[in-house]
Amino acid sequence: MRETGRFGGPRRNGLVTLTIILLAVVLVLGGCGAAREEEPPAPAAQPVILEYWTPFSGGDNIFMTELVEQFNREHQEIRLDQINSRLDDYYSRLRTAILSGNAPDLAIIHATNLPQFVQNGYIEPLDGLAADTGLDWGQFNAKIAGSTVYEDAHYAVPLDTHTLVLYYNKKYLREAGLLDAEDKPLIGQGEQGFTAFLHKLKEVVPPGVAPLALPSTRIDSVWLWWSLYNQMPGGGVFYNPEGTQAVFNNRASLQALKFVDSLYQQELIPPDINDAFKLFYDGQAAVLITGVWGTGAFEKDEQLELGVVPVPVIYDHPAVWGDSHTLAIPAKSEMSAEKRKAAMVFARWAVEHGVMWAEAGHVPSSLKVTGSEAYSALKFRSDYANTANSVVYWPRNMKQWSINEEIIRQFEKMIYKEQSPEQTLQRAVDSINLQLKK
Amino acid sequence: MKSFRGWFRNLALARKLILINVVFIVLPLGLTGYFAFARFTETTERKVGDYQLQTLKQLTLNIDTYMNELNRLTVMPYQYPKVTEYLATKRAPGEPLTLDEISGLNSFVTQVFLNGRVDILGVSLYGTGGASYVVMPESQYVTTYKLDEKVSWLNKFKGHYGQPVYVATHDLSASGGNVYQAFSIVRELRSFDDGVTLGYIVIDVDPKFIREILSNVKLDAKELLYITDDSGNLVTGKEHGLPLEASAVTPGQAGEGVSHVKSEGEGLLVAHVTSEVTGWTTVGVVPVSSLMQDTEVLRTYIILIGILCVGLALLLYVFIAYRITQPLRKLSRLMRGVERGDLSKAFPVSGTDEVGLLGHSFNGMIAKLSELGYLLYETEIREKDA
Repeated sequence: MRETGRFGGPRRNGLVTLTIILLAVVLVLGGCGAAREEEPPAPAAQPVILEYWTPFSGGDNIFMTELVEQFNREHQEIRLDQINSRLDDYYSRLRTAILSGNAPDLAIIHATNLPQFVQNGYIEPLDGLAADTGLDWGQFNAKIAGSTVYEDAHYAVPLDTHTLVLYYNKKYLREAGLLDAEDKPLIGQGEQGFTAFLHKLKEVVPPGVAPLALPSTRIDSVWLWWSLYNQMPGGGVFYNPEGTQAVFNNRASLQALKFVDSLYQQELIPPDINDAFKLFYDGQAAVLITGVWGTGAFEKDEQLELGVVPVPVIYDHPAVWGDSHTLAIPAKSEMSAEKRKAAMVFARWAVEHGVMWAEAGHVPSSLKVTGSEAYSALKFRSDYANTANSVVYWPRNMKQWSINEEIIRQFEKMIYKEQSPEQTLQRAVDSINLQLKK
Repeated sequence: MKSFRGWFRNLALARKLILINVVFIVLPLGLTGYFAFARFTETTERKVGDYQLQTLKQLTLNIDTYMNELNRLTVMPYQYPKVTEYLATKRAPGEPLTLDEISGLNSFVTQVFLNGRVDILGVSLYGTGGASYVVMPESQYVTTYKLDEKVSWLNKFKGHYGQPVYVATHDLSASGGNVYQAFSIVRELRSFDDGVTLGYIVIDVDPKFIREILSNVKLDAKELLYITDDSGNLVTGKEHGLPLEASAVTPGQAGEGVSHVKSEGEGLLVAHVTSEVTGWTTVGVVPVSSLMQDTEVLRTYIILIGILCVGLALLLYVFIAYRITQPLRKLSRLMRGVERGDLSKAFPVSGTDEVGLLGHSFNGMIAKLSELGYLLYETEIREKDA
């Protein structure tokens, strides 16, 4: 009987120690549990966010959205937020934003509209930035690249050329016997040839279907007139050499306008069309003359037997109205070097991925893209890729956009039979000359 | 009571100690712990609920500010006599407009687009006499649309005193084949002179801006945040924050509040705020389990530590009781020997505690007994001899 009645001794000590150790282990384990809070993930580098404004209201917006989304996926360090508005309101919105210091970081500007943004430094020259990001100006179609140069500086990166083209519904043309072996429309020479083509269509198509669809308001008829006027020998003169007076009330211009008017008056273009695009899309028109931006949307419509050719040469030589979407950086105080660079990275990427943009229907600006196999493989686009060479832009004038609006107003009155083509040209020129004097 | 005292008195020492430990330590501490935890859970849920409600109120307020701005746009036709005159005319569907009407309507719609933010997708004007002027995304105006008489908002204007109706997110088809998501604000337009309904203006808006406001709220994986209209149609929600079934957790009542909902066996804390401007309800859902996750880990640890400590204590009680009673058991064994007449044993005394003293007395008693025995034996011998 060793050490029976007494506390202490080695065994006693061992037990106490064991108990203390056990308690300690338990407490520490408990403590670990509480301390094992989820570590916050290391903050990912904040991407540069660019506000990007676009004016796409044809079928092409969805393609731009896809382009932006793919760019954002491939570039973790940059995020483009695209904001699209109707073309009708776009420039009013953009001008207000620039004047009030709320300009977007990147904006689409039509080449025609560049003069009014280059003035007063509303947009930034891009040569330095382009050199930094490796954008090669030499890759562009010379005509398109030229449209962005002011006093030897590039002010915008051209994305595309978009011209008028002639869309046709093969179903109706076949019924009228107006398709050749390659499913191209058989259109005769000159004014008579084109009119006869439409008359023949008018006889065949069901009532309510337009032989040719062109809206009775808006700019479409002005585009057609400008294209035809430029097809004439010595045609296409808009201003006097000094740029102080509009001089397009001449014989050639009048002939083109009379021809356009005759299509309306003979109801080869039915009256009161407001949305020609939708009419053709819904199979309610045999032929549609509009911009290339419809291709992507039309070809998705399985009901529509789509064909597309350049606008026919009715007079002397090929010429067609066109414009370019260009990417420009509006000047503003809080524009950081980082944002400028990111904007340029997108511009370069968008140009190089011109095939994606070509899917909307546009002719890409880069010769590398138009020469690529991927582009040639696209249906329809190669049928009109050459129109980029015969494109006629509007003349460079700071007020060209509002001058065009005056022409639209006068043309609308003509189409609604309120005045003759002669009066139309005279009144347009008079009113424009008043504007130019201001 | 007496029998209990007797029973308790008769319990072995180890059992006594264990019983005391259970009754006076384990039970009270356990109960206190249980009630404290329950109360803590309740308070946490209430606090989180309140906080959730505050956040939702702020969100709803932000959205309402924007909605009021949009609402002002729907009043614009009253400032454009050309528009109200057009809506009042009797028209066959698709009847062409004059150039003057086109330019009047077009400049009105342009003003709506310009005065609104960029999010406006479409503007539609419908007259009760068949006139219409509809601008959809990506398309020019259309005059052939007729107002669908079955459209859900049409009967909501009765007794509305000119208030607009907000329509939950729906599909909007553009002529280019694209489908846009939009919610709408609809206003009934009336003539002041005779009070008759002239028509309606519908403004379709991209719900993107609501999503942007919602995106400022950080959500856990299982939490939901969304907005529904009064019939449970989804307006929009935060990405990953959309309910699988809107109706499952939509509180039917108006106003604001926090409620507990059981869904698929899981407790959910649902807060909702109904906007007085739009009549839409902003709903935030937090699963209670995620709320109490940390507390439950803590609780588990406390219980484990408690069980371990109490277990160890019990082991020690048994051990100590055994140690305490061991000398008594030895003494009782020796006593039984004495009973049989074996007086040769002695208790090994090793201390001066109670047991030591008892052993000492026992040894003294044995010595005395031996002495008495010897005396008795001597007396017997002497008597024999005598």
